[in-house]
Amino acid sequence: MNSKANNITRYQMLCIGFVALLSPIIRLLPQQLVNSAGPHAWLTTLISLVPLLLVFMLVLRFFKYALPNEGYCELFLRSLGKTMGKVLIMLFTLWMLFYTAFALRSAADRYVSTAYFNTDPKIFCISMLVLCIVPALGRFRVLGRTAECFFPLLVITLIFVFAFSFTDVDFKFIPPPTAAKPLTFIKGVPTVANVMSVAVYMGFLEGRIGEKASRKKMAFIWLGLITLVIMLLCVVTVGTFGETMTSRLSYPFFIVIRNLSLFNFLERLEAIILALWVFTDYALISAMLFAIVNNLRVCFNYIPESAESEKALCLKNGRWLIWLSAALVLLGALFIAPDALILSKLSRELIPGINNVFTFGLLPLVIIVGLLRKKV
Amino acid sequence: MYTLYISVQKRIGALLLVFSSLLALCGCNGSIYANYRELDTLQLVQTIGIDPGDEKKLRVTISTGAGTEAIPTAKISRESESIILAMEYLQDYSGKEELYFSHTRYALLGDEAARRYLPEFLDYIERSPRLRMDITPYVVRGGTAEKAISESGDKRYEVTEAITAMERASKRNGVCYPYSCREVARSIAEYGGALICAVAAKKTEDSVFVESGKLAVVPSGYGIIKDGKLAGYLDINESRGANLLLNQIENSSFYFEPAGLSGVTVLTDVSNTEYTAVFDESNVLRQLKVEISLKAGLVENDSLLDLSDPEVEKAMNRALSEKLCEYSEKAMRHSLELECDFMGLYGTLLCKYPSKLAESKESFMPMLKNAEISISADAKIDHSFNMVRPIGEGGKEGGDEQQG
Repeated sequence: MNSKANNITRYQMLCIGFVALLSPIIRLLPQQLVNSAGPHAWLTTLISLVPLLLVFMLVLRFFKYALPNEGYCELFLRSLGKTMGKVLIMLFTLWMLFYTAFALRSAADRYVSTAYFNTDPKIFCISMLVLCIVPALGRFRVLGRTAECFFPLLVITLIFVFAFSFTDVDFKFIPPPTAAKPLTFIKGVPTVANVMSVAVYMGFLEGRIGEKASRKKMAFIWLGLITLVIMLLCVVTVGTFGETMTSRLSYPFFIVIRNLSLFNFLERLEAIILALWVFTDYALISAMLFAIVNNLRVCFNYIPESAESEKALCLKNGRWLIWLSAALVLLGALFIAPDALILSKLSRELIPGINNVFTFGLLPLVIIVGLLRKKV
Repeated sequence: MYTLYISVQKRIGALLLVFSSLLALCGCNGSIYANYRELDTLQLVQTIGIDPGDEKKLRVTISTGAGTEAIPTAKISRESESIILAMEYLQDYSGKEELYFSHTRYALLGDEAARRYLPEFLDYIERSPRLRMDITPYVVRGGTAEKAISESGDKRYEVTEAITAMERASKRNGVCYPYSCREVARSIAEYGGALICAVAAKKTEDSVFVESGKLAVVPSGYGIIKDGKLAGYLDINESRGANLLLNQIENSSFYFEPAGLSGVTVLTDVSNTEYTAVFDESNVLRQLKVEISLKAGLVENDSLLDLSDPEVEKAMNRALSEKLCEYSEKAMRHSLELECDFMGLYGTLLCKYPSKLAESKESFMPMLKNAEISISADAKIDHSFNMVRPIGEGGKEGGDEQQG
C-alpha cells in the first residue's frame, strides 16, 4: 500500500497521460499514419477509437473491484497466481525498459534532427535521463504536480500552433473519404493504437492514484482530448504539406512550426516550441521509470510505500532498483540504434508490433483470464 | 544536527542552481557556447539566387537586403558543386563571422537553373536546416538570378525590397500569387506540376527609386513546372486566367472593349469558379464545365459611358465575360498542351467527385485532354466608384448626386 501523501489525483494522472503521450504522437503520427492511411489519417484516428475503447472498457472492468492503491501488478498476481503473475509483470517490465530506452533515444534524435544539428545524440540521452531520475528518486506526487503545470502550457502551445498554421492548410489536399479503398483507413489503426498504448502502461501506476472515483470519466476525457489532438495534427500536416510530402518528412509537425510566422514580425519559433517538448519526454520517461521501479519492487518483494519517505540517495528497500532501471534505460538508449536510420527502422517495424502485442494481445488476455477465474 | 545538515545541503543546492542559471546570460555566452554569435557579427541574407555555373557547377548569389551609408548592401556570388558548398565558399568571402541564412525571404532561380536544377533546389530546401520551406521562389524569365540580384537597385534600394513591393502589388492586382517553396513542392508531389512566379529583370530609365541603367524586377506571369522542371511560362493575362481557375483573384484590374463602345477598366470584387464534371459508367471524365462568376466595379472608361443604360451595362458585362473566358481558356490550353496539371485541377475535382476519381482507372491528365471542356463566365459590373453617372450626364457634375 502506498502512503496517501505520495498519491496523486485523477486529474494529475490525466495530465501525465496527456503530456507524456505528446512525445510519441509528434514523433510518429503525422508521418507514419499518413504513410499507411493516406490523406484520410484523421478518419483513421476516429476508427482507431473502436479497438481502443474495447481495451479501455476491459481495463476499466479490470479495475472495477480493485482495492484502493491496487495497480496492474496486484491484479495480475490475483488473476494468474503469484508465480505466473510475477513472470508476466517481469515480461511487461522488460518490454517497458526497452521501450523507455527507445523513447529516450528517439527524443534525443528529435533534438538533433530539428534544432541542434551535428550534435551527438548521446549528450541528449544522458542529460535527459539525469533530468528524469530526479523525479523518480523523489515522490510520485511531484511528477503529478509538474505534469499539472505542463498540461495547460502545452495545450496553449498546441492551440497557438494549430491556429496559426491553419492559414497554410489547403483542404484540397484532404479530399473526402470514399468507400473505394476502405482498407486504407484501417491500415493506419495499428499506428494510432501503438502510440495510445503508452497510456495503457500508465495502468501500472493506478495504485498511486488517491481517488477511486471518476476513473471512467477521466479516461474518456483523456481519450477525447488525445483523439482531437491527433486529428488536428493530421489535418494541419496533410493540409500544409500534402500526403506525399508529409510521408517523406522526418518531423512534419516541427517543420510546420519552423514555417510559422506571426504576422511577419516573429519567425523561427521552432527552438522555443522544441524546448517545450522537453516536458513531454520528461513526463513520459519519468512516468515509465516510476512504473518500471514499481513493478520490479513487486517482483522482488519490496514494500513500495515506505520507500518514498526515505532520502533521495538512500538505497534501502529496493531503491537501488531506481538506479538499476535508469542505468539499463541509459545503456539501452546509447546502444539501441547507432544512427537515425536504424532508429527510424526500429520505430517503423519492430516497436509498434511488440507494443501492440503487449497492450492489445497480452493485457486483454490476462484481464479475460482474471474475469473468467472470478479473481477481479 | 541532522536537520541542520539537510538545511545547509538544500541551500547549497539552491545556490548552485541559481549560479548555473547565470551561465545562460549573454555575457557568458561567448566563452561557454561554441555556436553563440553576437547579432552584429552576423550577415543576414535576404535573397539567394541560383544559376548554373561552369561545367557541372552551381552559382549561388546572395544579397543582404537594403544597406545604409555605414553598412552597404553585400552582394556576392560564388560557384561550387552544390548549393551548400557554394554557401560555404561565400562565407569565406563575406568578411563577417557568419552568413545567416535562416531569415532568407526570396530565392531567385535563373531561367536555365529552373529548367535544370529545380528538383535539386527543392530537395535542398526540404532538407535544409538553414532555410525555411516557406521562402518564395521566383524564376527570372529569360535571365539569370545573378544579374537580377547584382544589377538591380542601388545602395539604398535593392532586390529584396524590389521583390517585396512587387510581390504585394502583383498579388493584389491578381497578376501572380507568390507560391512558397513548400507549396511548389507540395503541388509537384501531388499533381506533377506547379506554378512559380516569374519576374523579369528590366533596364530602367532614371527614376526616383532606381539609378539609370540599373535593373528593376517586374512581374512576368508564372513559370510552369512540369515533373519538377521549368517547362514554359504563362504571360500576365494567362496568369490572370490561371488565377481565375484557381479561385484566387483578389482586386484585379481588367481592361476590355465592349462591342460598339470604347475601352473600359474594371476592378474585380468577388469571383468564384465552379467545376462540374460528367463521368461515364467506367468513371472516365467526359465533360468538364467551368463556370466563372465575377462581380466588378467600373473604375475607368474612355468615353464617359452611362451605366444606367441597360444596353451599355449588357454590352460591358458580355465583353468582360468574354475576356475572362479568353484568359482562362489560354491557361487551360497550356495545361492540356503540356499535359501538366499545374493548377491542381485533380485535387479540386477529387474534393467534389471523390468516388468517381478514386475509382477511375485512367490517369487524370490524358482523361482531361480527351474530355470536352467548356469555360463560361458570368461577369457583372454592378457598381462604379463614387459616381453614378458620368460627368456632364443629366446636367449635373458627378458627386452632387446621391444614390437612393
